Amino acid sequence: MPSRPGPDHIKTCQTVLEGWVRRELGALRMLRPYFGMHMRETGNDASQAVGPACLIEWGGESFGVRCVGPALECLERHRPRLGRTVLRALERYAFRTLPIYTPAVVMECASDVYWYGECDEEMALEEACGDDAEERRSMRDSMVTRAMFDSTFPRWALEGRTRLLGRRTLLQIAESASDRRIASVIESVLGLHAMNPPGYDWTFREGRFVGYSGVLAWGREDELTCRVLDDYEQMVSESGDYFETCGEVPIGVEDHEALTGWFEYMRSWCRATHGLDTLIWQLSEGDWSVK
Amino acid sequence: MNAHERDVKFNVSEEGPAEMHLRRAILVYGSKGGGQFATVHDIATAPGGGATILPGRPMTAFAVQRLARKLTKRREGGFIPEKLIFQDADTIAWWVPPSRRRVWFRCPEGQLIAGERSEVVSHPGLVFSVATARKWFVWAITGTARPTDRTKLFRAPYFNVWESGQVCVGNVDLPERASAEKLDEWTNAFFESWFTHPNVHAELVRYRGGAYRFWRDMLDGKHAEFPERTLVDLGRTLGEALQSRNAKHDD
Repeated sequence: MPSRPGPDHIKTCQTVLEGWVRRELGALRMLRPYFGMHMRETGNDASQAVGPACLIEWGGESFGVRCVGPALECLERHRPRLGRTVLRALERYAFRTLPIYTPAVVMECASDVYWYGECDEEMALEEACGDDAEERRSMRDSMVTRAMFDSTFPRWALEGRTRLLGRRTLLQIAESASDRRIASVIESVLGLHAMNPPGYDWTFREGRFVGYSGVLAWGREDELTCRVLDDYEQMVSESGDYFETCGEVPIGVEDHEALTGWFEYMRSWCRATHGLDTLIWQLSEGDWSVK
Repeated sequence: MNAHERDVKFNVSEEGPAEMHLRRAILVYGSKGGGQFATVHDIATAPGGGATILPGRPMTAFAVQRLARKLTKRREGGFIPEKLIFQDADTIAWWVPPSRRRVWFRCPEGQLIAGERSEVVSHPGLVFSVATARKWFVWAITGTARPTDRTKLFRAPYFNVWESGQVCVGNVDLPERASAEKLDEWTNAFFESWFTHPNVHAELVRYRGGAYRFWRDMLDGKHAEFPERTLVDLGRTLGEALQSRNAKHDD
């Protein structure tokens, strides 16, 4: 009885899912999400009888380094707190979809790598050099310091707890802005607020997250961001205790309700990802130093 | 601008068959008086592939039971599918009630008109039987009742099935083992393969014009219901067939 090549169910499944996620995401300019569904048979260990299941995971490949400093500073000049409001929105929705290295995240990395978790290098100097002023000066000269951050980024780009502009104010600014780019950025932020995608609980993931979808440096002369991130990723990779995917969900193959729930979640996720992509594109494209 | 739209990937993968490694050795000792004793030994594997049995320790009764449970996992308890009609240490048999299913034929040009044909047609009730040695049988039965050991068997009216009822496996991709959970996979493997030629020298069906004419008419939709009158009586019951599973096929 000759075999009749049947349909390749895996390939069919992949084609359908890929088509679905592309339709939901729409065209992206910056972000590069990826998805995986890994199916496994029933566990072999009699003591752990688990049914067939699949693990769905997703994340983003890095789009590289883009500069957003000129755009955010332009917004801040246009209206105080507008730049920081946009930046906070970007960070907020990136952590709900595809996290991006922003100045505040980079400083957290520096704190982790160099400063013993503190907000500057003083504790690290104290631990390493004690009261030896010469040694402290020498170490400070060779390390990443808080002063470097303060000279690279405006203070508001590093502080998370600042008052932000509300929706009504943003609408007013957008309506009155003569610069179409400013109005567009505000519309993108308001769009993300309106979508309000569900948060992601990062606390149950073990290890440090390194799967950032890109780096938002401040300006072309910003060497600090890449220096810190190189050291951070090197430290994390040596520890071996890290993860790269932005989400993972194990679902029983016959648990249709859970699968439906995941599709619903991803619809919202995809819409927000598209909105985030647009915002990053707007902030990193064109010459914002010219107004 | 849609530069990256086509770049979004959704990779779907399936866990492949588990790789097996030599882990431990069990040495069984026996005395003339019938006493038994077993020891469990770790294994040292050399880079070149050779293995050495290391010093062992007595195997406890608990370890024996745990190992036995793992090795005989397929016989652990569970719900019994309605279609399952027989199971022993070697063989599993199940019933497929009369149904309409798609069949696929690839025959010499002209025999079924086109060289390749596929239609959804009616089928009689069937009983499949699979032994661990990949001995795979199929027989037909009449009626819609769940078969018993006294149910009369008829020749399965299909190509690529020998007179004994054994299915010519060819290069069909079969499920790894026959178990209660895999019944549909085995059934699908049968119907989703090509039927290419009759394997019986005797009568496959009682039909004027023979087997090819029968299937041509079936594929042309001349019989909305499967014509049970065409089935060839094998002169034995299901119970008898399952007791004589070692019959050789006549290839």
